[in-house]
Amino acid sequence: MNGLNVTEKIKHLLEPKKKTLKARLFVTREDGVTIYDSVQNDTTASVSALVSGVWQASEALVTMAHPHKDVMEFRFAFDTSSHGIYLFPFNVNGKRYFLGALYLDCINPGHLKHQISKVKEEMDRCFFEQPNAQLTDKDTKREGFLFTDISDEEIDRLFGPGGI
Amino acid sequence: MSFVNYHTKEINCKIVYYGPGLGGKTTNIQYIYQKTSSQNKGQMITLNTENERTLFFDFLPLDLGEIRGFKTRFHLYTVPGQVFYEASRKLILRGVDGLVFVADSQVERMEANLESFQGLEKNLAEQGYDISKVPFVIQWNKRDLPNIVPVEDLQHQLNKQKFPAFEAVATNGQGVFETLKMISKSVLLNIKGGLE
Repeated sequence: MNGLNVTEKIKHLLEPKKKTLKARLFVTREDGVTIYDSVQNDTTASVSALVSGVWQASEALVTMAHPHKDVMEFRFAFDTSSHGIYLFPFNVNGKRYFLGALYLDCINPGHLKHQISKVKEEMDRCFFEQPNAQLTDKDTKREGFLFTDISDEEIDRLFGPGGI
Repeated sequence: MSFVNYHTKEINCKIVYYGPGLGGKTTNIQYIYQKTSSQNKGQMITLNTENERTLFFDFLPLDLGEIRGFKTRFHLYTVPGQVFYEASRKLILRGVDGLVFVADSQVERMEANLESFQGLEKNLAEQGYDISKVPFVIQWNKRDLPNIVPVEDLQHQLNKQKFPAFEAVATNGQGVFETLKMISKSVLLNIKGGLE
């Protein structure tokens, strides 16, 4: 998987799991940007935003009680005996991501959670085994600003026909 | 923090609408949602109380067109304006790429505007942001109401840093897209080349 960036590596790892895991599988950055979603529809961005919000709120609550606790040890679960959501945090290059599963009508949620934790371990191994130099492709070394100038006309086109 | 994927040529940015309670932050987002075609927007999320006050945040994902080959995706958030939701506001500011401060132009809301602006400065500083370096636009909302503060006074009291500012009536859309376009441009111009 050398030569792939983080997003592509995650996709490469998770895409084959879609067939075996009976859940909506997703990865988001901690700021709510979607990295991967096994179900691509108009709720994809919203799922990521809500995951980011719920994790940050939970983290704030936990650190009130345990100010020095490492929140990377935590998982998040909100569930009944058959459906719910499950989140695992993980780090890549010092940035935090969440692996999550949304499931419905699951006969054995415990087994599903175990499968998700195995996927998370696989991702940890994948990113741990890759030396940092291989994880950082040429893009990470870019400097300066992406755009040095943008005209008002370009912004109007973005929001005009073909934009909004 | 903006996210640029050079492989898929996508830009993701987070814009937060901030301001005092009942100032029109949610109304801005709702107007944008109403006027955006379905292929350019995702599901709007509103986490509010029974009486429709924002409880945690509103969220609207916008997929705009391309700019110089990059597909642009803006994530619009509002914060809860009520004073006692300070902890939530701090969380929502994390990773912000651009800010719109929606001020209520009514005379009786000047104190609330000032309190909210000072809170924003403090919250940004706590998270290591320098307000003068974050893309920032101010909206003077509710310009259609009686008993409003003249724009010159608003500028003097709330916009000492001379951020771009627009008059607005968010309920009918006046100034809403002008504000969004300006903050979008500022955010795009502020994106660093490095990523991931």
